[in-house]
Amino acid sequence: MRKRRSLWVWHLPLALFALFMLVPLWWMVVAAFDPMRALLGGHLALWPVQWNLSNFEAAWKSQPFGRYYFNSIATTTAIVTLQIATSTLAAYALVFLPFRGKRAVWALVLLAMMIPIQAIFIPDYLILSQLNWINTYQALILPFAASAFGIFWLHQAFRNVPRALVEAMVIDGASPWSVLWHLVLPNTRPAIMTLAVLNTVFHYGYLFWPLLVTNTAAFRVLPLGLSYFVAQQSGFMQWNLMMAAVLMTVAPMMALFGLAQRYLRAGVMHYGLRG
Amino acid sequence: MQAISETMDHAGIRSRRTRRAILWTPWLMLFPALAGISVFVLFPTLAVIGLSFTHWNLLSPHPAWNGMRNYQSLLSSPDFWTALLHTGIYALSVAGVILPAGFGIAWVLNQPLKARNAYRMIFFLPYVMPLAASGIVFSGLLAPSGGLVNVLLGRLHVAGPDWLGSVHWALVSVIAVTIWEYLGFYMLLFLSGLQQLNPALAEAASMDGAGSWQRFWAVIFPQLIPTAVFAGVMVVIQTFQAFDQIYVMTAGGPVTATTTLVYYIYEQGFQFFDIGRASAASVLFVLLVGAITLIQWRGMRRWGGDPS
Repeated sequence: MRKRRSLWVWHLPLALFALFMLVPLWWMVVAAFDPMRALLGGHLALWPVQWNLSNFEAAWKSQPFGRYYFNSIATTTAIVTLQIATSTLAAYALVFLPFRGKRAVWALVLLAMMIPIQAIFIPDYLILSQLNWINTYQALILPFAASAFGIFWLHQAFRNVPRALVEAMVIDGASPWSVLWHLVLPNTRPAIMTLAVLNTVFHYGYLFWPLLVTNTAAFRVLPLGLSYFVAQQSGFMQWNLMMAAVLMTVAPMMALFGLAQRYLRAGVMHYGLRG
Repeated sequence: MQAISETMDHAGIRSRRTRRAILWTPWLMLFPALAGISVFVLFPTLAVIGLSFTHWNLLSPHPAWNGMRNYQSLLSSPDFWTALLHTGIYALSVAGVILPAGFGIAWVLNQPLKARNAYRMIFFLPYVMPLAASGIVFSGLLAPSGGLVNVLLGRLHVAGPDWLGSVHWALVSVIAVTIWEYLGFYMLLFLSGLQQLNPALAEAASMDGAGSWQRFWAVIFPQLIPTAVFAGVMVVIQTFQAFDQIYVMTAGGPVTATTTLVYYIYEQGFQFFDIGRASAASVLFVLLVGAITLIQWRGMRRWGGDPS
């Protein structure tokens, strides 16, 4: 009991620190809703002069944000779906099926996992430009349709499915496809969801790759649209419009965080389990 | 149709078909993933090694053999060493703040504290922000006039610098946004390490009369070393790969103040079209990341973690 009460001491520093961490987000919200004046001239902009949606209107009109939204959501969905499908199949073969050369395949997966895309983007770009795929959805999606990390992640999850259950199904004459569909997938749904959510956050927010393989507004995704918006305003920055645009970009991830944060947290904590 | 089903019923052929299926199914399942990884990771890795020995500016039809000259000119170029230095400062600064702070917060939030889930949520929230968005928000906070940070400093009668426009403060600003983005991630990593502690060991130690300080260093800390090594390697690799926040905040500048290794490769390749030089820098980058990963795997084996 005494121990519990002494813990109260922690609330003051924790609350202060939490506020500190929330300041950038709060400032973003205030600036997005606030008319321009309040942000200049040295005022402390911690509360908007009035809550106003005009910044959102102006930002939305200044760039094809509708198109950006569509591009971001479509490419992220496609990447995550494809990656889950390819990784699931590969991980199933690696965990449950006997075949020659398994160790070599696994070694290649681990090797691929160690190579960051930031080191190989030049040949990747050259391949896509040889195919005339610059400024296409393929160029945004296909390089991430397979992922060594995804295979690795699901490999760990699939290993926990009891072998006896799998063998029982095989003896009853079930094909690998049916074991995967009826037994393994239903039993590893949390791990798959976690991979999907982690991937969604990563690819939705990814600027580096779309920057390389697109140069027209038609194929721009939201983070890239934001960076063009900044460049467009250089000289006189309208922070209010900027923050409205940022808030529009961030909103779907905040919604996802609200809906799926237990998967996200489980995912990150699972990284720790490897340690 | 009838003929097919009759054939299927023929026991000998069916077993041959089944055997063929057993042989081919694994490769069928592996094919999409292996094709993708081969085309977009493994082949490009070989290609980048090959290109690093050539001179090519994308205008000439083919890369021309250039031997070791790209490596020689890289290693004798002050710009390359500056980029490496910035990468090192960046990684070590982020790690130096985020590891102790992440651990400290995890430690507190592992106590039976009221509202600890709310705190965990708040600290983790920035992780879902796209880095480009976080970078732009911080650019606003750090704006030289009217930005919240300088307004607050002004209240204290301190003239705040032009954060992103100053060679001294730009890298600090990029470090700050990176810490803000990832702190919650490392807090959760340490939390997971703390939740795996064996409580019996700490109890035994306190029965033997160990004080709480002694208990921490002698019993709890050694159990946390694998998590700490893992988190350390991960934060270094994550910062080594940083690009988005630098691109939107400073574009590598002012001058070269925030040009890290990855940003240097990007500039060499996509602004100066010096493919050979950019590839040589990429190879050195892979070797660096590979060396760090090896240290991690060695460390895991030594301190009893699962290296896979």
